[in-house]
Amino acid sequence: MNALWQAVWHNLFARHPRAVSAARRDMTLLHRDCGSCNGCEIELRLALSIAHDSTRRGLSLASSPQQADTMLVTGPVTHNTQAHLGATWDAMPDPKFVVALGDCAIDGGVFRGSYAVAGGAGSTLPVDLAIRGCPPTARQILDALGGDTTPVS
Amino acid sequence: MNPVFAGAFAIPCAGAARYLLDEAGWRAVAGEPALRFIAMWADESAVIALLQDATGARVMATVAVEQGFFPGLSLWHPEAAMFERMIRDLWGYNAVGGTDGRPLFDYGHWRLAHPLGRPTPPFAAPEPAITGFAHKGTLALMRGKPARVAARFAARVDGRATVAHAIAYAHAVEAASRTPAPARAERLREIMGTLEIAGGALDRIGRIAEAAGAPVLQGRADRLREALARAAGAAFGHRLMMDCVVPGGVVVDVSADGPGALDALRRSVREAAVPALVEASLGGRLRDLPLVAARLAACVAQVDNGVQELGARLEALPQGAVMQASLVMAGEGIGMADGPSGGILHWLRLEGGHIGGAFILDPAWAASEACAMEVAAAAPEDRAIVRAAHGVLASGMDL
Ligand code: SF4
Repeated sequence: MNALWQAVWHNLFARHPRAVSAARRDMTLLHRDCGSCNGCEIELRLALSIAHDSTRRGLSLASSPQQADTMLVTGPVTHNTQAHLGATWDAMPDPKFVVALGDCAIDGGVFRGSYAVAGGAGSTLPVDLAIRGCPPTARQILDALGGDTTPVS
Repeated sequence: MNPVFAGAFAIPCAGAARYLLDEAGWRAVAGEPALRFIAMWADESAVIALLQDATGARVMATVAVEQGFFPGLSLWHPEAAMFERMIRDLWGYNAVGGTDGRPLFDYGHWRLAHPLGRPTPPFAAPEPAITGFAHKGTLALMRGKPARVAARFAARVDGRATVAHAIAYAHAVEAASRTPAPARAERLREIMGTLEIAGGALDRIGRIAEAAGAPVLQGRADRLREALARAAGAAFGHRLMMDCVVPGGVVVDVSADGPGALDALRRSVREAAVPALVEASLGGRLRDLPLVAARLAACVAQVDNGVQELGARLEALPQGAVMQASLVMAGEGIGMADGPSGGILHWLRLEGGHIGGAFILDPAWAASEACAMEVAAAAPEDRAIVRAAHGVLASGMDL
């Protein structure tokens, strides 16, 4: 998909995973590392840890695609992971959403253009929500995913 | 100097002796028991083996690549097999007598094959990938870029060791250009490196606790990890201190809030009393897992030492600049640093201020096989703990 079409597509159809229904409070995330440097994983782990009390925000991690409603992609999508990512997405039940976490997952980040990198999550999946940063902080991740954002000491 | 190098042509490289050998000399090096194999990579039409002699000194042996072939080392050094596979995938040079013909990174999905050698069209995928998922083409992206720009890639080899990789890379550039960083910058790098190691240790304690089903310890480690990220962000402007260290020095001095934030971190660590909690929650569980217990104890010590010394180090910072520009544009050097998972080594060649060739040796190269073996040997119910204690992740090795 070229960049213009991607932008148009995003504006027309992009939905926040929480926006499907007002009653929808919980998100079950399936995290896929598609070649990340592990930096985004540090912040994601903190965001989902007790340090930010994410269970109170209705966020939890799924262990299989069948249980998940939101795919969380980190890292540039390397050619070696691309087919795997597509197959995992196909195994998730509808309705389902894609979150690109971090600059790499948005457009390949610093690795864009490499012979080994397909691009961001958008190279393979229809992205609904992008979270900028290299890496985005735990707080930025939680703010973007929404929900109850009362700070936890 | 080991006698196998007598009479060999010496290539100048700051940080390690480097010799050019003919095939007979290379084979003599391969069979020399006093030389320990560490790593192997390639450069333009040459293959370089990094070895350690009996005194602990590093020495590099170099052999020319003829018509795409070089004499392999894996028959003598089984650890060399993974490097030979990488050299064939990235440079297209084949190890004669190599013991493992499987690809390591390239499964035919790339735009081109042999990206660092003479690129050719991709070939058909021979088998499903088990390594190389995280291969991003880092070495090719660095090549041809100014040393300062390429630092961004060095800082993203492994985000858990971004400071350590940036320091090793900066040291290599500074060695190659014979321009050391100012003393204040070097001390600031040490502080950032120690903080990063303490953060990695907290991360690992949290993961071990999670795998062992010790939620109180896990929660405390995760809270401290968050506190450390906040303190690092307050002191140096980035929670992981990514891109803070560059060739020539550091881009930021410690902020005005830094000393206060780091002291608050020290107090939080003391109040959390992690060593006592580790003993109370995991002491019994780990009695039969001495390797895990030893790794956990090392992590606990890293957290404590790392954080306790920070105040004195900040006090003792020498005055002066934190950046030193270099005018030397060419040379070759090795740089090293300690990261959360062990020692890191960067080798590079500068050409006109740009990266001519580079290789990055992450501890994952040595640890991944050891981890796989330990996990396989462990009882099924212990495997998650053993894996968590190792903390091996692909990115650092996959490049
Ligand atoms: S966005 Fe930055 S931190 Fe995240 S995977 Fe990419 S390089 Fe690493």
